[in-house]
Amino acid sequence: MASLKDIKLRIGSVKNTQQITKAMKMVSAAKLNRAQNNITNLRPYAMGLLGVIADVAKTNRIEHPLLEQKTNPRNVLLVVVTSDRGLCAGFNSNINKYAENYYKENVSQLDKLDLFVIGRRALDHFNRREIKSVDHILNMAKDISYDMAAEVADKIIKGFLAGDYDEIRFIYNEFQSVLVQERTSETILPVDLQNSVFKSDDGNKFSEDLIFEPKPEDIIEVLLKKHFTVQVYRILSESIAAEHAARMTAMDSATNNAKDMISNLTLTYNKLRQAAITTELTEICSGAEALKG
Amino acid sequence: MLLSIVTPQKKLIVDQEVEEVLIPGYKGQLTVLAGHAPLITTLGIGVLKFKEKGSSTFEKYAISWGYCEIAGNVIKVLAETAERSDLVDKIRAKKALENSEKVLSDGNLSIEETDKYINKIKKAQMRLDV
Repeated sequence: MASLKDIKLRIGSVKNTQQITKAMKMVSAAKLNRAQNNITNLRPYAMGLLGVIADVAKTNRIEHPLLEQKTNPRNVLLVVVTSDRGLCAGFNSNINKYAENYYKENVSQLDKLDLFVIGRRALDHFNRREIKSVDHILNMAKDISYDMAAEVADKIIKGFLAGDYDEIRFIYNEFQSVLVQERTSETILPVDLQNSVFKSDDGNKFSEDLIFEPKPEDIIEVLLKKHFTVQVYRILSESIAAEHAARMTAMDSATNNAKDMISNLTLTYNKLRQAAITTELTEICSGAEALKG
Repeated sequence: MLLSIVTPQKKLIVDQEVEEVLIPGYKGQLTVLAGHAPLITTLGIGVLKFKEKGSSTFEKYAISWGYCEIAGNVIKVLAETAERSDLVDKIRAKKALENSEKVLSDGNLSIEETDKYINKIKKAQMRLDV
């Protein structure tokens, strides 16, 4: 049986932990808000870009390496997006497990399967398993800006344009709601124009005598590159929003657990104290009786 | 004419009535008045100006890469960054300019990197001038 002092110390330490988890929850809630705003603000831009790419490509029947669909890709770059920090429940381990399985299943069938890792959690995971990544990026979480995403996108797209890869696939957590983060595996390059998001409902709004500056072929190249950057930005924002949501939920339940623990411990503490007092009283009484005797 | 300016971070202007827009287009400055032919162009680093309906002064925005779509009476500008002239952080722009110039003058850069820094200088200069 633990002594009164032990239990008191224990309660103190649980209280400290509770304060930390509570603070982490608050911080995550604030950051989640910002990340969510990022996603909503990006939407009009991304949709505008998609619309014009689809229109330009359809009107002019342009063929471009970034649009070319490969039925059987041989060289794949796998981009794994995780966070730098833990304490966010299954957020990272889900992604890492899935990516590792994907890697093991496909590595023997493909000519080349390279890993590009974002976030310390995935880097450590794959390093421990001695799976080498071609490149990695850390410290994304602070406050991602569009410029940062552009640099990441630049790094990734280079290999594709040089012909090193014919498919670029992202594995990341998509933010659906505070409680739900969906693990997603998505091919980002080549761009699939058949994809539902490209189907504009207003048909072709361009007239034939539309002026292009520069040529349509050049415009589509720039637009596709920007589209990729926007996608990377979106994925990073989604992942960060999902991370904060996961951490918020995890920290919320941790705070609740701490609360339960404290009330249990307090109960035991009070019982013990009561017992001690009772024993003391009995001793005093029996002592007094003995003296009378 | 209706003008919208959208960036990845924000919707800056939505369907504003304007009389005249000056756009830093691919082939140089471009003036758009009512009834302009349909056009798609990429935007360079430069200043976009527009005159609101009934106003006599231009509002100015510092713009880096983007593209612009003119169809009918609607002008849509999608810019990577866009800042209103009075909100530009001149101190930051000046720092960026000095930094890039220093890196360039130190030499030993690949062609790509040189391009990148020249672009940075252009951008900073434009932000200072706007």
